[in-house]
Order: sequence, then structure tokens, then C-alpha cells
Amino acid sequence: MALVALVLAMIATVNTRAADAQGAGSWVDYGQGRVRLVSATAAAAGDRLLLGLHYVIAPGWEIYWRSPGEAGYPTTVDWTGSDNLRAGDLQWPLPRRFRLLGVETYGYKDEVVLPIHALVERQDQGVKVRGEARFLTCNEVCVPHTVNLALDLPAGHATLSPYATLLNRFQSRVPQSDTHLGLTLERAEIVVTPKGEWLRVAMRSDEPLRAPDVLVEGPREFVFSTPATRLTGDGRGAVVDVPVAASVLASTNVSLVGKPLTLTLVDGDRAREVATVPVPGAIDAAVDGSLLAMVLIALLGGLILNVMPCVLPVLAVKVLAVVDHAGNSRRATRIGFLASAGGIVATFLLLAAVLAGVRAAGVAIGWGFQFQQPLFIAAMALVITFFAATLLGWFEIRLPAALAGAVGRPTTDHRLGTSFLTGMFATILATPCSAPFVGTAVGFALSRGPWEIVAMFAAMGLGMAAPYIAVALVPRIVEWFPRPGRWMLVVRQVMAVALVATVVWLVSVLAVQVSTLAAVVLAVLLSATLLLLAWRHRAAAPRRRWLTLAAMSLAVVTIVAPAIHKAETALTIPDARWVAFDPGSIAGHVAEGRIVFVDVTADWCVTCKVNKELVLNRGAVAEILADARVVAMRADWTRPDERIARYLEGFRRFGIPFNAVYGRQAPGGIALPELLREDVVVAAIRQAGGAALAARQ
Amino acid sequence: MRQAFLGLAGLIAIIAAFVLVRPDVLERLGEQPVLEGQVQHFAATRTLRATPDLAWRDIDGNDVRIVDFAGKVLLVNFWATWCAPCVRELPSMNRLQAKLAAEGLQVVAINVDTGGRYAAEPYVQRLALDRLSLYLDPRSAVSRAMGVSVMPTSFLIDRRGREIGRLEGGAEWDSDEAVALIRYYLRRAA
Repeated sequence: MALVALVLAMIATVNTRAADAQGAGSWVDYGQGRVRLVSATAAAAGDRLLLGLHYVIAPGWEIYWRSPGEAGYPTTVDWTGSDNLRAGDLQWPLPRRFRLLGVETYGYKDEVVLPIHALVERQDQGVKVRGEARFLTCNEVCVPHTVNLALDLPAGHATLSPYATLLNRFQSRVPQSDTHLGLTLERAEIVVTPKGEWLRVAMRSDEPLRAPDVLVEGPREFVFSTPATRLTGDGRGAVVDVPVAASVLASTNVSLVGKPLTLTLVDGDRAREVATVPVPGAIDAAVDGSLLAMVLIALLGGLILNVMPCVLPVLAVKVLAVVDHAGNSRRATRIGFLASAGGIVATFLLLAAVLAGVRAAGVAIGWGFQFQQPLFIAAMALVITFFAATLLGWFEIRLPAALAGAVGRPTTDHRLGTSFLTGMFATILATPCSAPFVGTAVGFALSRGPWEIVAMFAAMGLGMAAPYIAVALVPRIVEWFPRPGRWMLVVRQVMAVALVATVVWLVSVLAVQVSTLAAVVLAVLLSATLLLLAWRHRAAAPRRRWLTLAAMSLAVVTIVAPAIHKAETALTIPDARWVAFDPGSIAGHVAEGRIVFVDVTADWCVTCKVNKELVLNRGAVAEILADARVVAMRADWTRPDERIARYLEGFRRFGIPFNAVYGRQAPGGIALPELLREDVVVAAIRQAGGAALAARQ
Repeated sequence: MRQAFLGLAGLIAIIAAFVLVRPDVLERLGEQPVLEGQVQHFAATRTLRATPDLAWRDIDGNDVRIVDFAGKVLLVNFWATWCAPCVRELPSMNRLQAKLAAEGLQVVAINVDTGGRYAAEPYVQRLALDRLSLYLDPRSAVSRAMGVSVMPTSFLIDRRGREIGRLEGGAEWDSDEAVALIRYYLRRAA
């Protein structure tokens, strides 16, 4: 009997310690769930222990992540009272998002284990784990708890406890920062819109993304709400826009720019922690306008293209041709001009298709990219040289009638084909001229889908074709011009001069693009071609053939030559007061109270030069830019540059000229219109916080 | 027999006189507070319960007790900045105070953040709680003594400092049913 009692007593003793012996403390029921301590090993062996805080939470209730969001607080544990234990920090498995009463929070529901890595101070001795856990659990109401948890681990062998699997499952869900799991942060920037600030996070993944998300932890002055996510390109990239708002604790006008953040990049079960500091991004001001407004802007932009020095000659020549042959039937004139309009629109649509395709492939491309290719510059220069020669009457080789008409030979030929090609030619000449509004419209289009691109380019085409359509509708316009006479010759010569001037700056662009030597070679070749043509014009028939051949071969060489030569690595040295483009340093300058003026330009950009001559290098603006409190930054896009392309992309702009002003009151940057005006620039500087600078003007 | 009859008649006369002079008593005999909508979880105590004589602090550090508000009906609310439902109902309490102050109501919102004034003040300013004073119970002494386990919890206290009932959870305190409930208790002369 006594023996039975003894045995039973022993069994009872063993059983009450059964839970502990197996590596888990007793459950503490706190009303909305229960919690206990667990260990991966049944005994303490060696110098390390993997422990865990194991919650089983009642349905509907949640506990909080280490950054709970707008309200709440996370679990904290006080380990004093433990013996032979040095506990590390709590680890946090990837939480879920919850919206509690309209407030965005991060936390856990149903079940979670918070792993703790601990050190055993004296090996080969048992460990007493005592933790006072303070945590908050909420449903529609909040209930704060402080519970005392206990777990005893005897010294022994490191056999796994039944809870090892559980612990490992949650340990593997803790986002790491050193293993990238195929997730990379491309950039984090602050985008300012009329509705407030957004944190725009661009991430890439090795495998296609399924459900990308970003959890943001930042200073307590900010709260982050539910983001909007969109996949990019081939599904391996995502852009996550997180709305940023000032929290209750913020003083006025704080910006997230330059503040350290911890981002957790998430895709399903993969999660990676990244520390970053966001840079200024874009102002999404009016670009979010309706499609209709943008179409109108595109139309206007296209119309203005006609006045650009590269395009005007084509229109002029066509009109002159009609004036010259006033005897043409109205119908013929109509058809001719309509066909040209068609050529313009068709070329724009072709451009749209190409750009849409390229964008869909995810390549960062902008308007004017073609001018970053030396081959294109050389070819363009050659074509314009021939055009000029034609206007001067030196080029009379009998090309197929269609081409002849296209390059502006005075001709009565208003057949469809000819006129159509004239339109195409005009458009090709127009591509490098980023007129006002064109850049905005293209930026809008390239940031949207293929249909918007088509719509915008069609609108631009119509705008540019407008004068041709006008003449087609009212052929009598032509009769307003004076009678044919010497003046036409003068106009042609003036146009030719304009074209030669165009060639000259194209050559200068090549000088920067490739090298001075290449530019000189091209200039020599082109001049030679021009002289040959002039000579040919005056020469007698037999020589002509020979000279024609010479001119043609020279033409081929001209195109090929610059491409062979390797580009020199050094780009132009900026003016003394302009520093090299460095978007990462903008935040630093702004924080130190300076104004930053960014000028994105290229040697092939005519409008940029106009801006410089009229505004940037003169008067009030020049004075401001020379001030020590202003950092004038120049980004040279003469050659392809991914960094500049992405910078422009951030402002939803894809062409140049582009200028932006940054300051204390505009850390995200104020984007300026393409055509600068002194008062606009000064006003923007004032708005960014440079009132003192602007006031002197 | 005659005496008994006279006695009964006298009693009826007295009751009748009383009812004529104080007709509201008759009205109120059958009246119950209506607990619906926002205040459906209001739990009235069976018998009025004395409240603990503990002090909390105002922002100047002075002790404040329930007895300091004798003569007023109190809505004592415990809130914290980490408690979303608590913060959410504070503006409605501000409006309630504006509405019923003249009728003898005093809303007492006591914050239990361990960070005290520095944690709570930004919220008071952000939410523009102009009719409420900021009271602090940073060690949760008073809230625990009053048996608060759920946040937020609001207590209705009568003019003599006794607990009429409590509501666990948040509510829109300037809703019709909440105002009606409080008016019910305001009208009862203590």
C-alpha cells in the first residue's frame, strides 16, 4: 500500500513537472487568449537557448508588432527574476496588416511565437526563466495585460522539445536584412502631391511578384496608411505608394525626406528588412489631370512644333511651292496638304507604337533619346545638309519624284505619296525639338498605358498637322501671300541658313557626344558635301555624274565615320558655379538650409539653350544662382544616363528641358515649366523657402 | 371603524397632495433609462456604489478627487494614447460637455499613459478638446481601484459621488441615446 502511494506520489511529481520537462511553461490565461514560455530544447545544454513567447489568441483579438502603427504597443518582457539566463531581444515574425476602427495597425492574430535568443551564463546548470510580459490586446476595445510567465529547464542533453518545430516555424518568418531572398530595394522617395506626401518605394524581385507590400517604420511624427501597389514591367518589379501623414506628435510642416526608415519588403512569405533614407521625388501636380486636358496640351504642343527652327522650313517650303504654282487646282492643293497632314500623324503614331513597345519592355526611355545616338546625329546632319542644298537650288539629282518632293524640291507634284513623305520628313525633323507642352504631354503619356501613349501622340500629330489641315480646308490662304517673286528666293535662302545653323549645332552636339575630333571630321565631311553639290550645280554634264558619285560616297562616309570613333569618357566641364548632378545630396543641402536648383539639359536641346540665354544666364536668376546659399546642379543628358532618366521619371517627365527647385519649404522639389521665365523661377525659389534671395530682386 | 376610514382618507389626501405638488415623482416611478444604440452596453449598478477616495492629478500637479465635483453628475472616462477606441471617442465627449454643462454634467477624462502629460498633451491639442481638462493617472492607481480592465471604460457618477453604472468600450457620447441616458440621471435630484 505504502509502495503504491509512493509510486503514485512520484508519478504525480513527475507529471506536474511534465510540462517543464518537455520545454514549455504553464499557460497563463489572460481572458482574451493565453500565453506561455516555450523552449526549443527540453533541457539547457551548451551556452545558447532558443526560447519563445507562445500566444494563442481568441478570435477577433490581436496583439501588436514591434511598430504597432497608429495606436497600440508591443509586448515587452522584463526578465529580472530569471536565474542563469541572459535573454536577448524579442524577435518579430512578419506581422499582418489590420484596420482597427479606421486605424492602420500591424500585429498578429490567432497564434504567434515571438522567438528569443538567450545565453546561458553558467553551463551545465539549470535555467530558471522568469518573464513579466506587458502587452496590449485589442478588438473593439483594448485590454492591457501584465502577466508573469515561468519556465524551468534542467541541465541536460540538447534533445529537441516538442515545441522546436513551432519555434522554427515562427523564427523563419522573422524578416532578415542580410539574406535578400531575391528582393531588392531600388529606391525610396518622397512624392509630394496636392493631397499630401507619399512614400514611393520601388522594389525588384528575382521571381515574379505575387502580392508585394511594404511595411514602414519611421519616426514617431509620422503615420503610414494602407499603400497602393502596382506591378511594373515583367511582374518582377513593383511600385508601392504609402500615404504619409503627420501624426499627433508632429510639429507643423515636417517632411519625411532625409529621415531614417526601416522598410520591410514583403511578397507573400518572403520578407526582407532594409534600412534606408528616402530622397526627394516628384511633385505630381497637374500631371494627374484628366486625359482631356492632357490631349489639349498635346495638341498645343504639336502646333508649336511647327514654329521650331528644325520644322519651320518644311512648312515654309510646302507653302512656297503652292504659292509658286498658284495655277494649281485647289483640289490638288487640298489633297497635297491633307496628305502631308496624314504623313505627320502617321509618323507620330509610329513613334507612339515604338515608345509604347519599349516602355512595355521596361526600358527607361525618354523623349529625345534618339539624340543620344551619334549615328542618328550624323544621319540627321547629313539629311539637313541635303535639304539646305535643295533650298539653295544646288541639289537637283533626279531622285524618284516622291523623294524629290519630300526633300522640298520645288515641285508641282502634290500627289499623295510625295506629300505624305513631306509630312514624315517634317516629323522626323521635329523629334529633337521638345517644344513647350510636348514634354508634359509625353511625360503624361509615358507614365500611363499604351492607349494613352497613342492618344497623346495622335493629338500631338494633329496639332503639328494643324497648319497643313488649315491650308487644306481653306486653300485660299495661299492667295493671301504676295505674288511669286524674288521674295520667295529670299525666304528659301533664309530657311537654308536656318538649316545650316541647325547642322552646326548638331555637329557641336556630336563634339560632346563622341569627341571634338569626330565633330571636326563630320563638319569637314558635311562642308565638303555641300561644296561638292554647289560645284556640281555649276558643272557641265559629264563632270556632274562624277561629282554626284563623289557626293554620295562622301555622304555614306559621313554617316559611318562618327560611329566608328569611340566616345571620350570626359563630358563637358560645367561652368564654375554649376556642380555635377547628384540627387542623393539634395536632401543634405536642403537640410542645411540651402536652395538647390537642378537644370537637366543636353547639347542637342534647343529649348534648353533658349532657357539659358534668356533666363538662367541673365539678370535676377543668374544673380540668385551665383549666391553661396544656392546649389546650382546641372545634369547633362547629352549621352544616355540611366540616373538622369530615372530622376526625370520621378517627376513624370520624360523630356527636357527640365528644371526643379528644392528648399526647406519644398523638400520634394518644385518642377518648373519647360520654357522658363524669370518671374516664374524667382517665384518658385521664393516658394521653396528662398524668400531672402528672391526679395533682393 | 370610523377612525380607520378617516385614517385611510387622510392617507389618500396626503398622497394626492404630494402627487399634485410633485407630479414628476409619479412620472418617474415607472421610468427606466433607455439602453440602446451607442449605450447599449451601459451596465447600471444594482445599488449605488461608493467610489474610492483616491486622487488623480491635473496638469499643474494638484490632486483631484471625485468629492471635488460634488453636486454635479460626472462622466469619468479612462483613456490612453495607445488605445484607438479611446482616442476616437474623445471628441464626442468634448461635444457632450459643451451640450450638457449647463444642466449639471461634468466630463472627467483621465489619461493613464505612463508618459503622462507629455504623451497626452499632443492628442488633446490635436483633437481640440477645449471643454475638457487634462487629468492624469500615470500609474493607473485610480483606474485599477475602480476596477478598470478594458480600455476605454466610462463611469457615470451621481451628485453625491456614487457610481451609477459603467460602460466598457467606446461610444459616441453626443448621440441621442447617450444624451438621453445622461439626462435621465441629471433630472433625478439626488
